[in-house]
Amino acid sequence: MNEQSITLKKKPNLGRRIGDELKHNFVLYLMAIPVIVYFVLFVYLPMYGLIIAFKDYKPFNRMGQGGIWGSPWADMYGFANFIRFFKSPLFWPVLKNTLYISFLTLIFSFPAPIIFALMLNEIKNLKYKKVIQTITYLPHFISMVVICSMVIRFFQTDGIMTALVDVLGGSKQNYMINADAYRPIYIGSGIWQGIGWSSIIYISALSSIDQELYEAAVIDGAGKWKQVVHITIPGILSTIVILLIMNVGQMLSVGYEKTILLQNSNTAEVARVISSYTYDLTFGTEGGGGEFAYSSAIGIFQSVVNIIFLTIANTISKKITNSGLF
Amino acid sequence: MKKLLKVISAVAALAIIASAFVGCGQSAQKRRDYDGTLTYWVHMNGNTQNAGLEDNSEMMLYKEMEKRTGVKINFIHPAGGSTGNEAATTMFLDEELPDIIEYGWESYPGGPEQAIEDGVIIALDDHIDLKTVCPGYWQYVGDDNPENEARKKAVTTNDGKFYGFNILNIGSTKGFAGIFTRKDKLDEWGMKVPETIEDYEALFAKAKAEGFTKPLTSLIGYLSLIKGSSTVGFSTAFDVGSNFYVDDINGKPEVVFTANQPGHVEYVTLLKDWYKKGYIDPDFATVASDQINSNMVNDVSIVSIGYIGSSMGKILPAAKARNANYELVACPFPKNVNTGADSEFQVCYNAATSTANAITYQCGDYEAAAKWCDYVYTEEGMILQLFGIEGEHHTVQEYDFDGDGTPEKHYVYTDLIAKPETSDCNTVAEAMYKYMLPCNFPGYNQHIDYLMGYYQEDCQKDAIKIWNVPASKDGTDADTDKIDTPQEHQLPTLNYTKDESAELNELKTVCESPLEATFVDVVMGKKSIEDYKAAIKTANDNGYAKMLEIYNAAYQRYLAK
Repeated sequence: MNEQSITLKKKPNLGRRIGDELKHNFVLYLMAIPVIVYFVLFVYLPMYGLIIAFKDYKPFNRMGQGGIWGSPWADMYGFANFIRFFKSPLFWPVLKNTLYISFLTLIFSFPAPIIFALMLNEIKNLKYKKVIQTITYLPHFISMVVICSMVIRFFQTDGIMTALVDVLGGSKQNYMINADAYRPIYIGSGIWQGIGWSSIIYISALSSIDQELYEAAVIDGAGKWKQVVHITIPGILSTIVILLIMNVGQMLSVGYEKTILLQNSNTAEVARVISSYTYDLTFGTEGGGGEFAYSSAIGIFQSVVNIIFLTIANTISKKITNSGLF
Repeated sequence: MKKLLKVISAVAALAIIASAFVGCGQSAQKRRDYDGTLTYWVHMNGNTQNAGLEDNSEMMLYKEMEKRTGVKINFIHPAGGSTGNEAATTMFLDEELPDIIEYGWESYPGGPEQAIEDGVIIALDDHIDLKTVCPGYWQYVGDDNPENEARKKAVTTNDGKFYGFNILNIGSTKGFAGIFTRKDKLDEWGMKVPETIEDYEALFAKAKAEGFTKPLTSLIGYLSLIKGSSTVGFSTAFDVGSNFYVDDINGKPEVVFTANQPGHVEYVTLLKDWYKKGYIDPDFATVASDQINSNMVNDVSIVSIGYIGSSMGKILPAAKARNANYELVACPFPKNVNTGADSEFQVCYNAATSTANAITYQCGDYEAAAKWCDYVYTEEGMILQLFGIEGEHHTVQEYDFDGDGTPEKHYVYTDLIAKPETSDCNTVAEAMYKYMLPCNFPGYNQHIDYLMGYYQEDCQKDAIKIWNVPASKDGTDADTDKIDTPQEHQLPTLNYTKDESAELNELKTVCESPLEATFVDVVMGKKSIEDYKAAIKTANDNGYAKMLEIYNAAYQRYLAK
C-alpha cells in the first residue's frame, strides 16, 4: 500500500500523462494522424484476412455461405493447410532453395554496396565520382522484366557474358540451362542491378563522419587501410547493422518475379522458392490455381520464420554491438 | 496484471471494430434491379488499346449494338489484358460481381460447374429457354442438329448444362501453326518443300554448308515443339502427338501422354542426332520468339516452327525490307517414317473453347443479358462483330474460293481495314480491333473471310490450306470409330473437379521440370537415351501416371455427356 502511493506520486496516472503529452506535442500528433489512419486501414484491418489460412476457404455463394468468415474451419484444428505444405514433396526443396539464395545474398550482395561506397569515398575527383555513381544507379530504374530478358540474352550461347566467360577460361554454352550457373547469375545480376542504389545510404553515412578524425589519424601516422578500419567502418557501423538486421528479417522472402522470369525447367530444381511456389498455386493457369487458403498458410509460415530470424539477429546484434532495431 | 488486462481489452475492442467492418458481408447475395444497363467484365484486346481506344464502349461494334439491342453496357476491363487471370481470380472474391463475365471457365478452380455451385454464375438452362430466347447460339450448339455434338459437349458442364456463350470455332479452318521454311532458298538450291524426315535432313545439311549456322530454330520441349502450346512438329513422323492427347487404346479412345508413346523415344533420338550434327539452335531451351524471328530474318536459320500470324506475319515484312526475294512457305506435317503415310496430327483448334460470356447470379434480368449475349451469334450480329457495317468496313463480293466452280458470298474488308493508315493505325490487326472483335472473343471464330483479310501475304494464305489436314484423306471420315484424324486426336475442353484441378496443378509442378531438364540434356548429348527412359519412368511414378488418370476420368465424363 505504502509502496504504491509512492509510485503514484512519482508518476501521474496514465490518462493524465497522455493528456499532458498531447497538449505538449499537439501539432506532432496531428501530423501523425494520416499515417496512423493509413496503417490501421491498410495494414492492421486487412490482417483479419489471415484467418483464411486456417479455413477451408470457399468463395461467397448465393446462400451467403463461404467467404472469409463464412467458410468452415480447416481440418486438424484449422492447421490442415499448414500440414499440407509441410507434407508437400516440394516443401524441403523450396525451403532449401529460399534459404540458400538468402544466405548467398547476405554473403555477397549485402557487403557489395558497402565496399563500393568505401571505394567511391576514396575517389578525390568529384566529377569522376558523380559519373560513376550515376552509371551504377541506372540498372535500378530498369524494370525487372527487362533486366531478366537482358540477363537471359547475355548468358545464352552467343551472349556477351558467355563470350566473357569463354575468354576467362570457361566454356561456350547456354548458361541459362545450367543449374550450377543459376545461383551465380541470380546473385550477380542482383548485385549489378542494385549496387549503385543500395550504396546511397552508406555514402550519406560516410559523409557524416567528422573529417577531423582523419586529420588526427594522419598525424598519428595511420595509413589509408588503418583509417578505413578504425575510422570509416566504425563510423558507418550502426547503419550497416540496422540494414543487416532488416535483411536477415527478409530471409524467407525471396521475391517471385525474378525467379519466375529467370527459371526454366533445367534450373527449376534450384530456382524454385517459396514465393514463386505460392504464386503458381494462387494464379496457376492450367487447370488449377485459386488456392487462396493454402497460399495464405504458406505466407504465414514465411512471416513467422522471418520474425524469428529478425528477433535472433536483433538480439545478437544488441549483445555484440549494443545497437539494434528494437 | 492490470496492465495485461488493459492490453487484452484494447485488443478485444479492436477486434470488435474490425469485425464490424467485415460483418456486413455476411448477408446472402442479392440480385440487382435491371434498368436497361448491364456491366460487362471483359479483357481489352491489345490491338484495341494500340488503336487508341480507352474503353470498348468507344468501339463501333458496341455503339452499333447498343442502337440495335437497346441495352447499354458498362465495361470493366481488367488490368493485364488477355492475360488478366490474376485480375479475374481476385475478382471472384468480390461480393459484388458484374452482370456478365468473359473468362476462360476451364481455369476456374473446379471448372464451370464449381463456378455455378459457388454462386458466381448461373446455369443458363435453369433460368431461360435457350432455344427460344437465344436462337443464334442455339443454331450452333442445340441438340436438334447432330453436327453440333462436338460443340455442345465442349460448352456444357458434366451434367450437360450450358454455362455461358462460348468462343465457337465454327470456321472450317482448324490449323494455325506448323513448320515453315524459305521458299526462295529452296528454289535457289533446286529442292522441293520437305515432306519427310530425310527431306529435312538434306535441307539442313545443305543450309549448314551454305552458312546457316543454326538451321532449325525453335523453342523445343519434350511435350511439343513450341513450349507451352500443344504444337506438334517432327514428332508426327513417329506417330506421336504433343502433351496429352486422344488415341486408340485397344480400340477405345483414351487420353495418352506423349512421352509414354512408343515413337517418342525414337523422336528424341532424332533430335539428339540433329543437335550433334549442329542442325538445332543451341539455345533451343530458352530462345525467345523475337530471337527466333531474327534468326529467320538474318539467314541464320532455314526452318522454324511457329504461327501463321505472329511468326510468318512478323518475319516476312522485316526480311523483305532487307532482301526483296525473301519468301516463306509452310511445310506439310512430316510423313510417317515407317509407312510413309500423311500425318495424323496437326495443330488444331478445339470445336469451342471454355472462354465464354457467362451471366452472374447477381444479374438483374437473366433473359435480357442472355439476349444481348446471343446477338453476336445471329447472322446479323456475326457480320457486325466480324466484318462491321456493309459499305463502311466491308463489301460483299461473290467469287469462287473453295474451288467447286460456283461462286459463293464473301465479306471483303474495305481500305479502312486493309490499308490501316486510313484508320490511323499501324497494322491491319489494330484497324480491325479498332472497330470490331473478329477473333478471340465469344462469338463466331475462325471465319475464313476474316482470316483472308487478316493474313496479308500469299504464303500465309497458303499456310491455312497446308496446315489444315482434312478430316480424312478423301475429305469424309468414313470409319468414325477410329481415332485417326487431327481433330479426333485433339484433347477436347475438359471439366475437372476442384480437387482434380488442385492435384493436376501440384503434380505438374513436381514432375514436369525434371523430365524437361533431362530432355534438354539428352538432346544436347550430356545424357544418354537410357537416362531419358529412366526419367520418363520416374516422371510417371512422381505424377504423370496420376495426371493421366485424372485426364482420363475427365475425358470419360466428357464422352458420357
